[in-house]
Amino acid sequence: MSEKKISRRKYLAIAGGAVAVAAVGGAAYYLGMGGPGAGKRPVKIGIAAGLTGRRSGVGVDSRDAVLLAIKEINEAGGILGHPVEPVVEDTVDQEAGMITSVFLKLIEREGVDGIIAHWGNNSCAEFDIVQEKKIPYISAGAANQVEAVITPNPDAYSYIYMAVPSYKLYGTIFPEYISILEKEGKYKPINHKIAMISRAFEYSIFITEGLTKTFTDMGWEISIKEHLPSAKVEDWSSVLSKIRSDPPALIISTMTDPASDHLLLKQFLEDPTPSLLYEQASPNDPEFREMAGNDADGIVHVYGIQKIPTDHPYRVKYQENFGRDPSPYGIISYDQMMMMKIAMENAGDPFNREAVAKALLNIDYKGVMGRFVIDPKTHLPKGGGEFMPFPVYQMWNQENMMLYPFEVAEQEFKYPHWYQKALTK
Amino acid sequence: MFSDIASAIIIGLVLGSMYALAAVGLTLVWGVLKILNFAHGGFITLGAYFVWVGITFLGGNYVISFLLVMGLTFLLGFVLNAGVIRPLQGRPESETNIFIATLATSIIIENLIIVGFGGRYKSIPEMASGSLTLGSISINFQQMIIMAVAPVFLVGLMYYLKKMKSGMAVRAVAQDADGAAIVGIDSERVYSYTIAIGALMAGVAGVLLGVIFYLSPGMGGDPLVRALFIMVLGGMGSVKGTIYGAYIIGIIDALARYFIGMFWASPILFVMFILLLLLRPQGLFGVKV
Repeated sequence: MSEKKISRRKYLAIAGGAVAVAAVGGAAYYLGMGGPGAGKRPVKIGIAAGLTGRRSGVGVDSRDAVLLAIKEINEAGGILGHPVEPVVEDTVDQEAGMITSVFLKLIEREGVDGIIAHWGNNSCAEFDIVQEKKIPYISAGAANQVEAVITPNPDAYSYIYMAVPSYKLYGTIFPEYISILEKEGKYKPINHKIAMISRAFEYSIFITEGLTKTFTDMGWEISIKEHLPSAKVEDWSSVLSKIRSDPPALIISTMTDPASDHLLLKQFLEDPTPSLLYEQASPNDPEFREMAGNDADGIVHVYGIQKIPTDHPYRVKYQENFGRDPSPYGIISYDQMMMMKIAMENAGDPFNREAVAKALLNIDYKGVMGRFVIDPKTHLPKGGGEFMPFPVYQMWNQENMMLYPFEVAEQEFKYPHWYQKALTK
Repeated sequence: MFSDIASAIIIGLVLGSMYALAAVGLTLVWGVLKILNFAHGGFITLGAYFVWVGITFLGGNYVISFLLVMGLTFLLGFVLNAGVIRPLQGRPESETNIFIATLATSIIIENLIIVGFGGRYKSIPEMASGSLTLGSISINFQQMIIMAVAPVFLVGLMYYLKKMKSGMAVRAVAQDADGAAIVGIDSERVYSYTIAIGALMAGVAGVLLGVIFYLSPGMGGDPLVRALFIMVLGGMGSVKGTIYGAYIIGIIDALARYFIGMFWASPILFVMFILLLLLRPQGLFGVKV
């Protein structure tokens, strides 16, 4: 509770600060007075974040990151002298109806000049609205759907850009890493079997299909395949019974739900098998880390957002402002806002939306997370190599440690805490 | 094979226990008032959050927290009746209006929880950790507690309805409200504490659900749907039928998860449900009208 109080107070302070600077500029504009941003119309940025839904942890972190960026931009004189004014709206669980009403409110009632979202609706329900209203929009999730929607006709989505690369890399990075570990003798799997757990959710299905294809091409066998209708699982015994009767080397869950993934871990640890446990995305959620604690030591996952070192200036700044570490969305949303700022500056006029959208398409920005260069065919940033890294993580002491690519690795692969005990059982 | 069947049955009993508690209050209210109380899901959520508040702020005392849940949900049941249900009773289209009003109450509860506690998952610390292993079958202590607690409340409710004077009044009003009024039973009063008892049972179900899963503002939605399903299966208004129905559903659900797969468990239950409605529309223990 105390953490919540601190973060709320900090949020109010930062949001208040950002709004105050913008308000002074705005008032000065209307009254024709001097002062910061005097005579300049404020640039209104809509922040659409799931602040109270199932994954509110990342929503709150995302909002705070955008507010932090806006605070810095305003302190440095705004965008081309225009103060930036944040307008925050809660998208709860990112449902299509909620997303569309929030976006309409931001555009029609609040008159925003650009929108930042940690992610929109998986059906891309907001796309037609922002495109029709010509509002530059930067999102950071549901990249597989975004890619599928934009690729056939990128010009039809000229105002919509992403800050995370293609999810296709989820299907290849982890198998590639496992293969390297095996060749180097750093990981000796008990067999080449995989228990694959997915759910009826586009993100989960997309990643599961990618991993299944790559692993089977490498000669691995999907020995247990469990596809669930929803994220709400009260009991994993039936799946774990199959795992325990024929232990696989890898257990891969693409459930992407912190509660279900934690319950899977908890019930797995009651009688573990010598298997690596891969849980997609959940280890990034603050809720998961709080609930699992050190039980999660050794869990692996891949995430299309790079972690930054403990002493990275941004991380230090975020901690100073909010009293906690940022989740990946607490970092990438800062870059999203900075991308918007740079595009508005490159356009020469933050209110010339067409020019801002074109500037986003041509952006080359070295941000906290990596280098953002937009692929014109997909409107996603280029991934891997010199661009946005796609690291393999392993959790230790409630911290996600980067293992691969080796250029960004913080430590070497270690067997999870349950492994040796399960092996000798 | 044997251990899988035994494990599935144990999980079925755990699920059945939770389903029974979630459904029994709903069926009791239907039996007496002939209304579908859609605020029931909200009360399941409230039960879980009340116990979390009790444990977080009252030093982790389960007994006090549990009593707090029972007391608060029972009292809020009276508030629900006085503030939402009673004003609409006896008016035109009252059934539809009560359905909408109770659904709205559930949404309000959900949103108040979001405002008060945020949307992040919360977890109730385990009542007991560890497990009991019998041969190849393992039962964790949490599951054992659920299997033990639920029947206490269910048997207690049955005892209340069968043996205690006010419980008999509930049954009398359920059977014939006019006849009960002739013999001096205050039906308004019976309605009031029937809703309160239903709310209490929902609160207890929320606690057990929260103990094995996680708390979220919308957590009462799924159990409500399951409870409606069980209520129809057991026979609308039949407390005994609902309890049997819950355990039957729990065991079939668990067996399907073990032997066919988790994806197919719900479709199998729904196919069974449709077949039952075709063959026995009044449910397992309902009376044909």
